[in-house]
Amino acid sequence: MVYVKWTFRVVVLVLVAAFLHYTLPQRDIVRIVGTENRRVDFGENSWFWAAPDAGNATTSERDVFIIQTVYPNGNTMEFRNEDTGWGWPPYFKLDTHSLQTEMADLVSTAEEPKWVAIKHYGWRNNFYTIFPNAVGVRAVAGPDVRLIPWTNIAILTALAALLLFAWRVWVQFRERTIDPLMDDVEVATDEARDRARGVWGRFAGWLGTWRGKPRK
Amino acid sequence: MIFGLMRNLVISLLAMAVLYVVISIYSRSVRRERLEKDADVKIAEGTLAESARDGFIEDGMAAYEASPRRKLIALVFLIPFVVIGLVTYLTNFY
Repeated sequence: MVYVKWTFRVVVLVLVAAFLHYTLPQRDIVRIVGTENRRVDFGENSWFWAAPDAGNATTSERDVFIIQTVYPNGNTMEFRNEDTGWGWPPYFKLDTHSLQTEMADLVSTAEEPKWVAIKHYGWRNNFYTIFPNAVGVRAVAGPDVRLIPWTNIAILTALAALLLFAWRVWVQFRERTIDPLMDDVEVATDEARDRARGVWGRFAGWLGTWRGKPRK
Repeated sequence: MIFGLMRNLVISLLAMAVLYVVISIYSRSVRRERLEKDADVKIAEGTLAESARDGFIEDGMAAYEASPRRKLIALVFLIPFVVIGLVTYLTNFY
């Protein structure tokens, strides 16, 4: 039972952490090497694609902007650039086309690198062909600048405050509503037990006398 | 697009309505608990008669229901508008 409980807790914790890791914004410092658009026919991975550009029709295939980038250590990363519109996750991103122009403006070569911080959410996964969605871009001084994730600090603090509030509400509810009810139930069961003892207790007592037990 | 925004607002307003009810009940409950404790302290000090305990609590609750503090809870309904507006601005126009 202990294992079941802990497995359950760990699974829930991992799911919540994965959800937050996917949804919250992160910034990667990269060099943009190219921008293009690709036609995508969504299949099993359709979950990991956002919405068509705000105002366009919803179809099972469309062209998606892709941004190709290289990390300072030489690893590569591809971002998609899609509107989230008014859906999930709630970035309310509508400026895909202008963002693509900004990205194209910041393309640079290995010899003359322009380092940029790309704000994005989502994961890159080769098995599912999914890409993180870029939300914003800005030029930074170099590959080693330190970025403080204020947005994440604010969101996680708000979430923690909400959890704390939910816990306080629960404690208050238990203390003021459930506990008094349980006391009533306890009193009621005690009374019922006393009443039951009336019939059953006398019978059991009588049976006991056959085995030489004195009546209580 | 406007439909999406509308749906979003309706869902958030429903969520905020739930939050509003929860906060109202919680706040009222905390207030009543505090009044009960105050009453018990006053009774122990001898400044309040035992028989006046219920009246003291009901008066305090009536004052709370009429207070501006209680009406501030309605501010939760502003949250979705502020957040959606702010995030939309920061993502697209900042």
